[in-house]
Amino acid sequence: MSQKKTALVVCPGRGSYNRPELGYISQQLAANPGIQPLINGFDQVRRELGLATVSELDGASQFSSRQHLQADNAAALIYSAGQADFARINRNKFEIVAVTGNSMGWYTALGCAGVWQDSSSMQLVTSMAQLTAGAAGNQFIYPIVNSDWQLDIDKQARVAEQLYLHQGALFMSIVYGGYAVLAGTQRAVQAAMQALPVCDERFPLLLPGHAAFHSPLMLPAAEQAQASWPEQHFATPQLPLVDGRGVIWPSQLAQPAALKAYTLGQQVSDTFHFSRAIQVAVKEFAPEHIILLGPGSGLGGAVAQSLIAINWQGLTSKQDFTDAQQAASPFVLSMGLPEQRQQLL
Amino acid sequence: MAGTLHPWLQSYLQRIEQGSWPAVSSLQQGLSDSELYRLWHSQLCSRLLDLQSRLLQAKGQSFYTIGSAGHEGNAAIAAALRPTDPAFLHYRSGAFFIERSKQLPGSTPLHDMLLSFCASSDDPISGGRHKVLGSLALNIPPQTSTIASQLPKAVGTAFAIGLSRRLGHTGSWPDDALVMCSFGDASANHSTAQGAINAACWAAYQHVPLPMLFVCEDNGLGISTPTPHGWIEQSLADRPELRYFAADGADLAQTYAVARKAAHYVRTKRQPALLHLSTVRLFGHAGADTETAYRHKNLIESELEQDPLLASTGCVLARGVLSGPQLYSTVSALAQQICRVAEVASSAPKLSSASEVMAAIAPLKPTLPAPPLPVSAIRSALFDFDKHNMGKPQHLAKLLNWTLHDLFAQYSNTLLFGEDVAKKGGVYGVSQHLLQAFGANRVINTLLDEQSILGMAIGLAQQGFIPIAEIQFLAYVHNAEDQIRGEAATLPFFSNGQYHNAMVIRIAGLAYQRGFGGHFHNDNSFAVFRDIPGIIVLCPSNGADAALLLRQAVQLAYEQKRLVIFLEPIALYMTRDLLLPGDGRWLHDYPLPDTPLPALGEPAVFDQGPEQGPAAQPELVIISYGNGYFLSRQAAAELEESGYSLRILDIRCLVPLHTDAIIAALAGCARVLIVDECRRRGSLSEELFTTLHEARPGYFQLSRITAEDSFIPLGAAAYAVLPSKQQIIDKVQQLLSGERAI
Repeated sequence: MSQKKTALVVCPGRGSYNRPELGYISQQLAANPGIQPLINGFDQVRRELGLATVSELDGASQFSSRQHLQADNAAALIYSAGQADFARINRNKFEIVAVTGNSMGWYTALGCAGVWQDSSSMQLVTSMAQLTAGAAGNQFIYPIVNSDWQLDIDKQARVAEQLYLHQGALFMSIVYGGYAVLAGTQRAVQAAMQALPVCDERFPLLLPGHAAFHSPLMLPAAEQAQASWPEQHFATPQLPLVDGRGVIWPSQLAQPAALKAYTLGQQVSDTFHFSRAIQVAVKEFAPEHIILLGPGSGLGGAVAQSLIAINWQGLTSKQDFTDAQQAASPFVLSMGLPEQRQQLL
Repeated sequence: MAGTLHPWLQSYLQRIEQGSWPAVSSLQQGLSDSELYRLWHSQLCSRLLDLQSRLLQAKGQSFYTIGSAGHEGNAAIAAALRPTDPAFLHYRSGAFFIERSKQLPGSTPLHDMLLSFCASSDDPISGGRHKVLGSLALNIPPQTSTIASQLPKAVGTAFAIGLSRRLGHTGSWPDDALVMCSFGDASANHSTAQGAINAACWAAYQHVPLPMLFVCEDNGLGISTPTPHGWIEQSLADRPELRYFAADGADLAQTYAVARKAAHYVRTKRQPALLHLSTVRLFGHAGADTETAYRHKNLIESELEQDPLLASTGCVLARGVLSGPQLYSTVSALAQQICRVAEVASSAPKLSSASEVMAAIAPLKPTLPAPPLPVSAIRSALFDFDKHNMGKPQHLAKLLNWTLHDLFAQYSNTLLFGEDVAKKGGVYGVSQHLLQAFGANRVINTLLDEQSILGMAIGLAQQGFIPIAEIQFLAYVHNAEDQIRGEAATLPFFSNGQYHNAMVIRIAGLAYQRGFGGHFHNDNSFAVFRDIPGIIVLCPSNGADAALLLRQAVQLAYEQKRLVIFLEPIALYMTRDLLLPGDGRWLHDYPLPDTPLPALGEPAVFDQGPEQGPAAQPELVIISYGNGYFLSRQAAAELEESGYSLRILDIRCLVPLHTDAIIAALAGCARVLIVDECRRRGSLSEELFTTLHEARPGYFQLSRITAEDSFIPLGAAAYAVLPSKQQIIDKVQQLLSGERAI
């Protein structure tokens, strides 16, 4: 047996690059100049598109919500930060057995697995962000677990009730660990948010700048994307991928048409089952670790909640997970947490 | 990694390095690259799981290593079907299972199968109770499939799907589904398999829709006994109305194409077909099988070269789907992946107590409101056929008949079927007029084959009907008992309560029949049902109880998803009088449909004596059921004249015994006589005797009268071996005479 530790890599989605993450990529570059060509390439694409470069955005003196949270800028930063983090994982210590991601983290996962390559990947990321941001609707998030991160049947039922009441206008957008991310028309989102009782002071929480991602409201964007991008942009995966349905894409098998159809089609306009992706990945690949890429460390809760839902390795609550994470080499290692990051380099 | 590898995998990896493959006879042009890869991958997963199972067994972490090696071509059959087509799988169907899993996003076949191998309570299908191939989400009901016993229920399911369409009933499976059932060449010889295939042909011959795809996976061996060359084709290719297809299981494209053709035929024609899939059996029958003891080494080695996985791997390479190095790394990675998953599975929790194991036998279901009772106008029209009898006391058979009418009107998904139940109305008239009232789709004459009748019940139940099967005579059930014991009763157990096949099986039985007797029509043994976990046996002795208990049986099936045997005493069907000709004391008023049901297991109590009344303390209690209760009532009436005060219990629920309720009904009386019309050995009297003693050791003075350990002869001789009224009188007098003397 290999002495390397096996790991599942998980890539974050939109909303992971915020004020605290400003400068995240520059820090990676300073520590690992080897990724400079990668970032240069991304910058070049952005420049050609007449957009702010990743380096400019990340190196800005201060965080500007208007600029940094603008869809294509945010997507470029998240994708670049993810690729930079992935490149930093010490492959002599860790054997990556599968890659997955949340929402646009799927794009980052495609990049990690070598499906999206070089300059075209940044073109695709930027294009998809623009196409989907311009689409209709809103997205909001609401918890379906209690404070112990165990399923709260009452909250789950309330969410289901709203989906039932607004059939055809409100959709389950992302099943995100202990949270339901719902998307729909502005009217349906507004009505559902008013109807759901406030909890933890901030939920239901509207996600600013988010359209009705992963819902049928994205169908025109998906159609446009599929018409714009030929399948040759989808190379053979070099690592197994787990998608937002819980489907495993094997490494080494060229499936450009199918990868394109899913990535630019169903993935865009149908529910993204992040929890299921995590659960399938741990069950079928049994990794010794889960590595969360940056930017940020916000994925940990949703990943832990997805694991608690299936009692993975005996985890039944938030406390169990917190206790388990006290181990010298915890199961979940986050690139966004300096201490854990050191173990990954 | 080499140290942990199974020898087959070592040699497979060596082949990849050396590029030594059997000549590729076909480039599998009927499959796209990704289809070929996908099927090959399913085959490889199945093979590596087989090998892992053996490695786990060597470490004491896995148990039952019978595998799929050599049969992995069945992956292509899964690809040709829909995941909503119920599949009753043979135990060598790992590749089928994995391939079907790929059709349902979110499936985790490696993890799930390894949990099953390791008997972990996390196993999503059986909860650690057995190594079975099964899944609720994948429409694969679990079973052990060792003796072809899955075939009758598969045929029953195919019939049920057709029936759903005719009745507009929404069942578990869509009405354009087909049923797939696989079995081996050796199992094909089993009478159960032959009976099921015959039943499918019998139905199709009469143009009854039967979307049934049999798959005979022919590896030429039944453990050590070779199947004669060509036998399967000779015996199965020319059955009436059974379309025959054949494919080489080593050729994925051919298997896929033929399976698609067969599936299309079955799905569109709603007619049965048989797909004969040639396979090989690799690595012996199971882990413990030393194949060299009965087969020549050269033959075994030559079969290794016919390995379907080598053929498909060769094709994957020849087609350039993977390069040699890619193949090597893919196989190595998958082997390591399965190793890791196995490690997780082997440390997953196990069932550790009897209560955990038994929790799935008859899991308690939430209360479910019964469908509304039919309104009076509907009942008036329904019972118009018998209006001259309405309002008058009736015998047991008539009251059962009326009860069935009411139940059919109340529960729209009830069905009655068996031999002669339709136009004839059953041998004893119990089902008279039901056909006219509810039509030929709900009252169905079957062929003369009890295994098929019970298989039909299982299939109908799994499709969401409430089947009421009739077995014409108790003795007839014995050649078909495995459909209850090994299949119907075990389904909740093997599926951790996820699947059920709730049903009522009406059986005319017990002795004392005056018309035509003899063993087969006068059988007084139901011991066959007494040790089957989870089933319920009810037995009425009179018409009023028959109505209430049959309603209770249907309600238990409807709400609690239970399997209920309803044992009807033939000799009491038409009995009108208790003591004297014409006294009419065994006729009863029909309990209206809203009459409350007795609690399950609550015995009926009858007090007889000079000081009869609720406060009276009986001198002796007789515990009985069926004909024994009837005889006891006759005896008690005579004993009353001698001043004896007796209580007679009709326990009504024979399995399981509700000991607490029985003891409560004894009202503190310690002197107990058990009157059991069944045999001294193996009858309920043994359990009653034991259970009462165990409940209050030394308290009860227990005696019993039973039938002799004999078969029932013809004519008056029958009574020589059965309990009689006089025996009861004599025994009571003997038991109480000492007390009177004091």
